Amino acid sequence: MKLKGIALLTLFYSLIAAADSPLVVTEPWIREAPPGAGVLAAYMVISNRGTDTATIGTIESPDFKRIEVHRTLVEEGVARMVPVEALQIAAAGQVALEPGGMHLMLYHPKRPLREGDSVTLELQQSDAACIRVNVPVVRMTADDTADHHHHHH
Amino acid sequence: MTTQRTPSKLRLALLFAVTTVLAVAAGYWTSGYLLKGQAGLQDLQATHFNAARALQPFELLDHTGKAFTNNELRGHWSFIFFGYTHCPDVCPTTLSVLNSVATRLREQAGQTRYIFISVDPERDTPDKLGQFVSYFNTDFIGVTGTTEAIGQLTRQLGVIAARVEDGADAENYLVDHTASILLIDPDGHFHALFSPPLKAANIVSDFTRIAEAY
Repeated sequence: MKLKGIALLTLFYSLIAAADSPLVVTEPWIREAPPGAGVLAAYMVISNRGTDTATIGTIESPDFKRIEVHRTLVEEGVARMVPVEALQIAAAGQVALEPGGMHLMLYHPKRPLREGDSVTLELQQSDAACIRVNVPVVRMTADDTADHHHHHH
Repeated sequence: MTTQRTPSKLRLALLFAVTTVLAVAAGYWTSGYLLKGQAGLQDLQATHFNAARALQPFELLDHTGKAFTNNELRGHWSFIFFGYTHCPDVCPTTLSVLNSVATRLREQAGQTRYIFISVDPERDTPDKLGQFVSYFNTDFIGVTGTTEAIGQLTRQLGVIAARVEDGADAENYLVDHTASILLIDPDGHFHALFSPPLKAANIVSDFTRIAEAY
């Protein structure tokens, strides 16, 4: 997976944590979509540095009408997207949202989003703080997307 | 008589033995020769059909609004992926893989085509499909049509497309669909299937061997 320089730097240095939340988001990115796309996908790694399981209830953004967590499942050659009702991250664990796996479904962008743009996502942890994540829009250019995280660690 | 019969019997037996050996050897040699192309395809990652399957006539529309029928699948190899533009994860990933395949096979550009057929004709107008496929590669062809015509094609190809309603938002239904890439040969016959995980390098090497054996 080749990412352009600036986007790559943004990925590496976007380590966002709210002071009162045990959750840390790294490598967030939104896949740049073809013009006019009604749904985009966002990916990231969410780590829980706390001692309890963390649950993300809702995710919102001023730039999208609605956001859901989905998981892509390929079973017997058929791809399905299954909504994930509550995204849970075990104590001292992490969850990777990545192409072909779990991802955020960003419905109805309110403005055109191109590579170089960035979007604020608000992850609302149940009974806890809201984490604000600044997520860059990145254009994918190659095919080995499943190895995305491994290549850049 | 007896002295003559024995050698003649022996000669017959010898002749029989030699003929048998020759026949077996000839058969072995011939089958090896005939199966050479097929034998080389045994360790493909792709599913290669022993007998390519002819397709029933179908009539769809390409993203420029022109008719897209069986004729458009003849005279070149076609890589076909079924998906929809409201699919933000699997479809863009697969079209990126196909773009990488096209780049690697650019020297055979005249002999290969890349076709994205919508399993969501209700939302995927030719215009919308055109924008979607051109984003990945301006040579890619988007194809849509009536729900019936697409259903008729998916059924004969064994492609699954199932709409999943979204209770919260009727406009945002999902469509479960086959995640494999289909390969149609220059006769317009369904020839092979590339299944996930899809890697451009594997697809290109399998395709090259399939095309050589064709």
